[in-house]
Amino acid sequence: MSVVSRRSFLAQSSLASLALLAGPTATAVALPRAGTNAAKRSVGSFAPPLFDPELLRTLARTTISAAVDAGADYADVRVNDQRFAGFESVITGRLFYNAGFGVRVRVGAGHAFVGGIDMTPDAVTRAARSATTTAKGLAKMAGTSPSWVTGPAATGEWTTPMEIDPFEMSVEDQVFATCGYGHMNRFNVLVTAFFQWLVETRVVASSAGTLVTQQLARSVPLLFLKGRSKQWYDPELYLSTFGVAPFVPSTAGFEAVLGAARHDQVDRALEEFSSLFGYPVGDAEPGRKDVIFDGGAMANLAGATLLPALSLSSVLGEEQNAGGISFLQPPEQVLGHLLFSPQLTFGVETGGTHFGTAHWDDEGVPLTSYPLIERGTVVNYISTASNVGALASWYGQQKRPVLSPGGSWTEHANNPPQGAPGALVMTASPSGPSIEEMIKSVKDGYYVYGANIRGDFQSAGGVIFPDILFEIKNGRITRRILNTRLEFGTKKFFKQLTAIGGPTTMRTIKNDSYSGVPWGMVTQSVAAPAVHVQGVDILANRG
Amino acid sequence: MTHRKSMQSMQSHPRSHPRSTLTVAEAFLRERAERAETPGASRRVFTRAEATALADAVVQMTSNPNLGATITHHAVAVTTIVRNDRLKCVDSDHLTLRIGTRLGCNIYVGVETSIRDLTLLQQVIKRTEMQVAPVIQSEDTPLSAADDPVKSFLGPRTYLPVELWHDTTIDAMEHQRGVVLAQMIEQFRTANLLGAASLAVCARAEIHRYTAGRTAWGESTDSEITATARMMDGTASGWSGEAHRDWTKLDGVRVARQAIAMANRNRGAVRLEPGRYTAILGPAAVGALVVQMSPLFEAVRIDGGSGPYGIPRTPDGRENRLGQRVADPRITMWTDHNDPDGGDYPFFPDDGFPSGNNTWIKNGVLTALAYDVEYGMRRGKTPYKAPTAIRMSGGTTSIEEMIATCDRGIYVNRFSGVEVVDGPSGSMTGTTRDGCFFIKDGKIKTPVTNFRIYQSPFLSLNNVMALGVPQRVAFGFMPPHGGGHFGEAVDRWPLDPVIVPPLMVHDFNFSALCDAI
Repeated sequence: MSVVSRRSFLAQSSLASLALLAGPTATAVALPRAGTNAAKRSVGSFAPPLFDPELLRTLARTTISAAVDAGADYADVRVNDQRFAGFESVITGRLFYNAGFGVRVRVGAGHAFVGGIDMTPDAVTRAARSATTTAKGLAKMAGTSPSWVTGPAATGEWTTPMEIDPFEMSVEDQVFATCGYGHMNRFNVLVTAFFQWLVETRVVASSAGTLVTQQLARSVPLLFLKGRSKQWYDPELYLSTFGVAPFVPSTAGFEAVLGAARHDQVDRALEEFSSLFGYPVGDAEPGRKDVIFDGGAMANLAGATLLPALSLSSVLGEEQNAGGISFLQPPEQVLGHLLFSPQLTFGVETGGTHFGTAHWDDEGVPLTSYPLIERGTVVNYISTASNVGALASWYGQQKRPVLSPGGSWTEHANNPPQGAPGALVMTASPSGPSIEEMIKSVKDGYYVYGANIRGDFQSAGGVIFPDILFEIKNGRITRRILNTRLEFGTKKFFKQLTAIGGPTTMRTIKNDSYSGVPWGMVTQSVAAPAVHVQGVDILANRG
Repeated sequence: MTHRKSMQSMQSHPRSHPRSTLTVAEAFLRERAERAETPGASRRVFTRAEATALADAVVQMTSNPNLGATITHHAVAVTTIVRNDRLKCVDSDHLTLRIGTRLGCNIYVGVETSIRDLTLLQQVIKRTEMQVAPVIQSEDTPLSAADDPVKSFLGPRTYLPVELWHDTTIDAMEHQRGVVLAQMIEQFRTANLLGAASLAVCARAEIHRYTAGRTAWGESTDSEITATARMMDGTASGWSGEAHRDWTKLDGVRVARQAIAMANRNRGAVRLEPGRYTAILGPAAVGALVVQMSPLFEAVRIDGGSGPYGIPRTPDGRENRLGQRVADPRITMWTDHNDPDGGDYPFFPDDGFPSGNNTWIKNGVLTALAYDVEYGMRRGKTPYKAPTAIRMSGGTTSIEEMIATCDRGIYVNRFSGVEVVDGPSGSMTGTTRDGCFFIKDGKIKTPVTNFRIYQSPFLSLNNVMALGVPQRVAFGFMPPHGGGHFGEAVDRWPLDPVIVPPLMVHDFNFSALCDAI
């Protein structure tokens, strides 16, 4: 086995990758394209698809036939062949293959799901029969439940568009790109790049006639900045870890991490981050204050509160014994009511490079963009075909057909799908202020730069732990504040929004959440602008 | 220890339920029995012979003399009740084959897959071997033949047998869940409350094989029943849960009744000013704090000065609090690989290093730290993963006796969403949930609305006033520590056993009111 040093590797690397370090001009002219680094082994050569899509379709058809033959009223199945590759600038590489299937069966009011990993006709047939048998048994004990609204049958194929397939890039160039960013360290800021690429063939079929095949790709390229000191535990020297825009979860290829614009943005982020060390440190004054939240902090807050609270499964009590029941219930007292600031608009976005973009969801429903909160009024929930029937009355009032808007998803086919649209966006004010203008507008308050949120089990409130908190006096940042937390009630917080930042303040974060019973993790992206909120409770001294 | 019980004996427990419900349950049983007739279906995870054959095949596919393969097969079945009688069942099967080789302290090259088809596996492994070739060695951590710590790492290891399998639990996966389901539905309907429950059963098997000849095998079963009862108007709720490796030790009716009773007692909750109170923490509440302590035992963090067991570097070079008193002398915390009620998982984590027995805190003194492979090799310590399964010593004081001796305090049934939010102190936040009561003059005076807490468990463990009898706690919905890669989670349910006593502690920080119910 030959071991290549980093130095020798640098010498051998392609011009395309070297351009990454060389700066904007070189990068701009040397974007690598698929096949330009054929001399080296591509990631895909180590991890090609293991199953022909036609085999996956055959397994899907077999599953549905077996379930229907066994007596299912309705059945759907997801079959996937998934490949994951991850590269980090501290030089690690990870590769995962996952293949599996999951069949969901309804018999009367009994619902059953069986997931498996043996990709054979016998195994899927056994699973389909088992699910049907279980659903039959449950149906005899079950009461009523909302009917499933499966919508029109879908058929066809779709492929995620991307410029550079990350699996066609060589392992060397992947590592080089992460290390390239890693070498941008400043004297007091560490830069760590972590690229995660996931591609898969996913087939969804149902007894209603749906059979769709999608070649999906998702990218989670992350680039973190971390304040560096020998004594990182010293709160006066340590600054938290930050993701750098535009390294955000997206539906894109390797182009998401290349280009002059990326390089410039990292440079600017480093400049801004380094400058944060310059402020004197101090303690907060407890009380109620005006607070500016940057886009990252807001996106984290929306992801920890609005997102789970708007999940229809939580609203309907399906997670009563798990994550909890949403505070945004019952639907008849929420939908159509002005509950938040009229400046708040929040919804699901799909298409383009939005994370999770696909043509169909895991129930074969076409994905759509749709509002959840429009100018402060809750207008919809995150639903799926299996529970949207509970909103029939509201949809009727709106003179809209009762159909899932799309967004049912499971990360692995052998786990059950749940309502988890890929990208959620809080709308910026088109002519809204910049972050500097927002800070200038505050006489006595604070500026939260990034935050961790701990919500409660109804998403009704929680605690904000700022990554960095600044004091603002007379429109200027005066000190960096240590050991302080902010408490909030969700409804009150989003009522007290007094200003929404403009498009330049938008930030996107990766939001990993656990939900469902049994719970599963889903990755989503949440984007939000900076906001100005009045009367936020500041509590000094974390203990 | 393999326990076998006939279905007849399992069903002979006294039950008092309407005949119609049992008839339905019996029909359910008959239908489920069809599945059990399928060869191999009843076991749900691979047998030792099957696993060995697969591991042998994998090892024979490679020419690398230092390749390790760990194959984990996990089946989980979860039945849920929502709103009294909406029923859903999720059965899923997870296989992870982790193949890789260690090239140095910091370099591990490997692949993970759920594929077990031998032809496809051969393709994966051949590619993995090719992947090893162009590995880039970091200049920061040179490896030389003379001081290669990997060599000692490859030496022989002793594995203890893992005996945590109960056939009765597997039987429940196929049959008994239906009976319990019907009984719990009946409890919820009769109580006129909104009932929700989860019945989770799992089987796990794992084999570790190293090309140099090392083999280790383990298998376990686990089960858990949890229930929440909620007032129809959403003004109060109660929760209860039980967990055991042997399903026959669980009683779904008892769980439902306790949740219902807790919800009824919790009616009419009043607001109580936040602050520091004497707290009487039920076992589930203690468990929610203790399970979050796991990463705080990691030496790699502690030696960096982080956490309550770390010491910021000082001129004398002292790095951690090993050997120092960190808790009340009545507190001992340990992990026993073969504790029949405990035991951890995975059985052979971190390149197949064996789990064993480790006492983390003995009579209040910190006695052990956890080392991952990389840090263990650098420090010359045997790798031992941070404890996900913990047993804690207890006492003999009942919860009723604790309440009787409390002048002014709060009883907490359980916590929700507990997480460490301050690394240096280990302070955690979370909320009380499903049962919180104000105690005055030795009696429960009134239910109170929920609180947010902000507390270091190390303060709690030093402020102990009384300890009760330890018992395994159920967690129900409890995501694992930290994030994972896409889609991780379901195969981690139920969580590893945490066996803790109810505790009475003074000066517990109920930091704010929480509006959630």
